[in-house]
Amino acid sequence: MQKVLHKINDQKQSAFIEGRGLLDSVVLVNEVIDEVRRIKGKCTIIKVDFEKAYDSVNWEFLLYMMARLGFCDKWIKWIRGCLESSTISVLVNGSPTEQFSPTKGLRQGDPLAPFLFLIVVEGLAGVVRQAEYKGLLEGIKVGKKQIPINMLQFADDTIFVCSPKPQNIVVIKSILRCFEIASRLKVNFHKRKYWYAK
Amino acid sequence: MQNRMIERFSIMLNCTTMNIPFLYLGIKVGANHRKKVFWNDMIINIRKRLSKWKGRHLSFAGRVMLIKSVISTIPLYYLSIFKMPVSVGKIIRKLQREFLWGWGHEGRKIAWVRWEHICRTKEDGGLGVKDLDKFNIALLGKWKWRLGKEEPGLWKDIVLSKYESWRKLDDKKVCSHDSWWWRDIRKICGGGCKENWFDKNIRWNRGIGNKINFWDDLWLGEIPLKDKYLRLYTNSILKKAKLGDAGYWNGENWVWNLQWRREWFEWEKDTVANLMREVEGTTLLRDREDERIWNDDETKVYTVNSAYKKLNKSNGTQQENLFELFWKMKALPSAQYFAWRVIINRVATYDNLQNRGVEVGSKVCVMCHCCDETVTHLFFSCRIAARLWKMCDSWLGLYSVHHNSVEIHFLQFKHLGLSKSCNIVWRCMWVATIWSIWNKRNNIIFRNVKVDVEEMFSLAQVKTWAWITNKYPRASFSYSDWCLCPTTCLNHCDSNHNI
Repeated sequence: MQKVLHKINDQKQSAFIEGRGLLDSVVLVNEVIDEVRRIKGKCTIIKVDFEKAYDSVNWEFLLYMMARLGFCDKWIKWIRGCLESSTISVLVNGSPTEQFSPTKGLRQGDPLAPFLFLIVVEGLAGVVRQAEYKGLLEGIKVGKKQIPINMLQFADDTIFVCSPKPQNIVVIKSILRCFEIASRLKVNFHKRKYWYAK
Repeated sequence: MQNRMIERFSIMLNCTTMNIPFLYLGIKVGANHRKKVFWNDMIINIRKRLSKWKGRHLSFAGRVMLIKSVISTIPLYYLSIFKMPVSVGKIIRKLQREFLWGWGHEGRKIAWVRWEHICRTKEDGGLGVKDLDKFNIALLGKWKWRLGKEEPGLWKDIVLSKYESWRKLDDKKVCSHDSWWWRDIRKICGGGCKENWFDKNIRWNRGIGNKINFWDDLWLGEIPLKDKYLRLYTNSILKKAKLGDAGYWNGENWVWNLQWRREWFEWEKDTVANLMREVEGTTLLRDREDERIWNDDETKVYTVNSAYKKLNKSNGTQQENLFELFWKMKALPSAQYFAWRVIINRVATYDNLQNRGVEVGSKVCVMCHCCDETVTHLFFSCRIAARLWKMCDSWLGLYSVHHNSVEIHFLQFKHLGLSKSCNIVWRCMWVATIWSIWNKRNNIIFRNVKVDVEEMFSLAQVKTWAWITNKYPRASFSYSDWCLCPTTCLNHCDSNHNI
């Protein structure tokens, strides 16, 4: 799975994938901001956090995403098996409850979980790509080659970069809303931040 | 107007507004890292760590360990992106130094060893503490390496879209569009630094000749052709020519064809012939691309570690062997670190104290009361010390004349060609003896005890026994056996288990 991830995941994602590092995206954001400053442009940066990201993943959505990304049925069945076979028990006031099977969420610490999570958030990248393709979302264009950039992901840490137009904000809002409904990842409204650079 | 727009947006998204700089993945983004304010958080972080431990409860060895594993590593995350300003580097170094030498509420203490010396590798006589400035440079060099590497990545697309090619780093001039980050990397390993250590360690493998610069890059011989044939270089038309531009394919053969601005004078023709002769032996390869190689025998790829080693190399290397042996030994760390200070003559003996401006009453050695106390005297040539070393000799079954120089004294048995086990015993015993002499000396001064050679010797014996049985898992023998015949003890284990 690790071997194919770098092919299916969008370039905007930089966590848990071979050959992409944490620092890459930091340098990237830094360069973008610097560029905007130097040409005295304008941009808005919106930082989004998901509430309890791992725990609230919708399984059906995950499996649907896997099918969309071209995993074969056998694989999907395996993953379903992995998800459903797990049982958990909760400590309540110091005493463990009876074991029960969860119906959503990924187990943190599971070696497979990061990759599954990447597949889930790839859904968001997919929507953004569509919006960009249809010309609804206008990113910032950087450098002489005018490479457009609108979103960066590091696992669940997502940043939107776009030019400050009301239309963009509306689009981002609806994208997040859709993604929220589909994947049950709740966008944390308190953690949502918003910057404006001159 | 703008503020109202921001307000409207934030209401639309139901979120809070903030200003640049902000924290992204744990790093402040959008701030100017050349300002000291940028680094304040990190310095506070380090301070917090230090005050919690209160270095005084730890031995010297323990403090070195802490500095190496904790204090030097806190800043690394920031340092792998940003160049640390000199002033910040100074502050951090000061914190580390104060911690190492135990400066606390009582004020300054003597820093016995220069910080640069401590930062050398262990084999080189230092303690292997990271020199953060140099490590910073090595970390940033990685970006230049990665920019020139063939691998996809969004960050690289963006950066290259801004600056075209990683070769632009070698430009002499700064462009006003360059970001601070880019300028710093340029300064560290590009056209901005005087002695370009990065390019010096780059080699090229010939391929189809699409990337290598004929004059600038190191693809033939030991120095770039530009430096070797400066006169010819000034006369060439295409100064930035790639290898592929400097010739043509004639069927299956590659023919070099350099173009010059003018005809050669008679006296220059020899040099031209030399160059052509040198170049003619080589050919391009059609089936692969040019390849960049890092000048490191093992990896061939840039690693921060190998770069740091290259940056941190000192010129004095004659003692290498000594320290290699010294740190291989397994003794009690605090004793071993003390012995290290003895070897480099950085111990608080009377003469050393006086040299550093401390008032000492008498300078006479407290053991023999006849000579001035110096390191060589106290540990080796003093009457008491000499007797102690004699006892060691007879215990180990050796007969030798002891040298007064510290290094040779430590190494002398290596030259005698003794067995491995005997060497192990000797080295541990050496450290233990030094340690017990020093303890005795301090006890005499501060607690008024009497000199007792027998006691010192047996103390060293016990210490060595404890170290060896502890650190070498297969060495198990009783203390009485050990006192009777140490080498047989070790030889016995040696033949059985191969320690």
